[in-house]
Amino acid sequence: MKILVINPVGTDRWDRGDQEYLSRQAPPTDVIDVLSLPDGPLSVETPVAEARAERGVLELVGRVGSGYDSIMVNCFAEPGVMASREIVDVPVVGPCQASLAVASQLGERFCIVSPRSDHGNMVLRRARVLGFEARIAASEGIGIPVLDLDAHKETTVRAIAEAARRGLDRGADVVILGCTGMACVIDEVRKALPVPVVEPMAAGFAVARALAGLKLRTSRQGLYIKAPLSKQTGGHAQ
Amino acid sequence: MRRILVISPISTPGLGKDLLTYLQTCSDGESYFDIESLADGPSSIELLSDEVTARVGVIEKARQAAGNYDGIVVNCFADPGVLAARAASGLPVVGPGESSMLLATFVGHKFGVISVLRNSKAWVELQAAALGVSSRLAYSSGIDLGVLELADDHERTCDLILAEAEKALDAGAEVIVLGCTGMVRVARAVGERLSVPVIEPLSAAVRTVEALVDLRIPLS
Repeated sequence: MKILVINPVGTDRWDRGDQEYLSRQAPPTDVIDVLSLPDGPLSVETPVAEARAERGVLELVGRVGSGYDSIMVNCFAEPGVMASREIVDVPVVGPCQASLAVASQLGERFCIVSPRSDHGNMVLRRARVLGFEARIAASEGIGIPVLDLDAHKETTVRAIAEAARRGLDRGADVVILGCTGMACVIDEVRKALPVPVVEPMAAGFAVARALAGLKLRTSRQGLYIKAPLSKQTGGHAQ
Repeated sequence: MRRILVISPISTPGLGKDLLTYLQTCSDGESYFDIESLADGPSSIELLSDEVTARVGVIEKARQAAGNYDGIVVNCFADPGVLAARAASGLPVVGPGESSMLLATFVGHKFGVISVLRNSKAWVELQAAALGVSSRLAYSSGIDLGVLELADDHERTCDLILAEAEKALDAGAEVIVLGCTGMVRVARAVGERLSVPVIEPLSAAVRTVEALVDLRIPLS
């Protein structure tokens, strides 16, 4: 099985670590390529950064995507996931939707914990688009930007656990980490919380593997019309 | 190797020996499967009362599986006892209904479910509501055949499913989910004759339980 993981940022600082992390949950026969963008934001935390990341994702998917069995865009904001389904036939997966699908089979209602304090509403918006709002008990931010998540891990773990407990008080029985950059503290967070914790990078990869294994292809029946060749490089006129 | 228990929540043979072969075909090859059916389960599950009859046995099997298995699949689209089996086993427990409807949402906006008896339209609507994917369900229906009649005439079963699938596409479905794990034998023929993705729910459950086991999420 050959899976493409796209880090939708203009830095390769996470590529190698993510590759090693995901390799641990796949058979050695799998090929996992983790690629970042030649040009893109350092993190995806604002609508502007998201728009830039989306262009880069489309371009990369158009360039190399069809050589894989499935593709995972490794960011909870899922930049370019839906649009990329027009570019390639193989399944394109986002970690937010994948985490919601995994969490739906572990518990009833979820608390999503995001990096910045103002992310809560963006996450709820995404959940509405995906049709999962009824399952969200809480969407909480911890006030730590993505690039600082691994700076003081103890602080990050404590902040995530505090936010998650607020969600548990509001009825959540599963916690979803709202940023793939939080994978660096997943073990500690799990030790600090009494409920299942879904780490979105791993969940996105696991769902991408499952869809590839089922040999599914994106439906062309409704929303996802196949983009003509002239538009398959991300909308640039050739 | 992952150790997966497949609970067939019926007392009849179902696919019999072919079930193991089929599970292995669905798997990525890294799973070992045991299959258990229920001594006092229903002969098939197509009524609400069948689902109730099956549930206690499923939960008991799940409870016994704790410690011996890494994950459980309940082999029926109605997902009998899946919720309770999670609590009883502390393991990932996957139902073909939930897992196939969830996976459908990754390869199309809306999906349609084609199942057995005429109660399926409403029943699947209730399943989708419980799962939280009602907004993605475009169509559901049954072909008015019982589970045990599906194998009588494969050609006819296939034609009935295709006729309903066409209605589902007209209603906005982009993906067709087969609404009964007894449709395994016609799934390929249906898939070959439709231009949209077709999901056979038992295969979706197998790949999903493998994914959940690989994630190693501690389930308190």
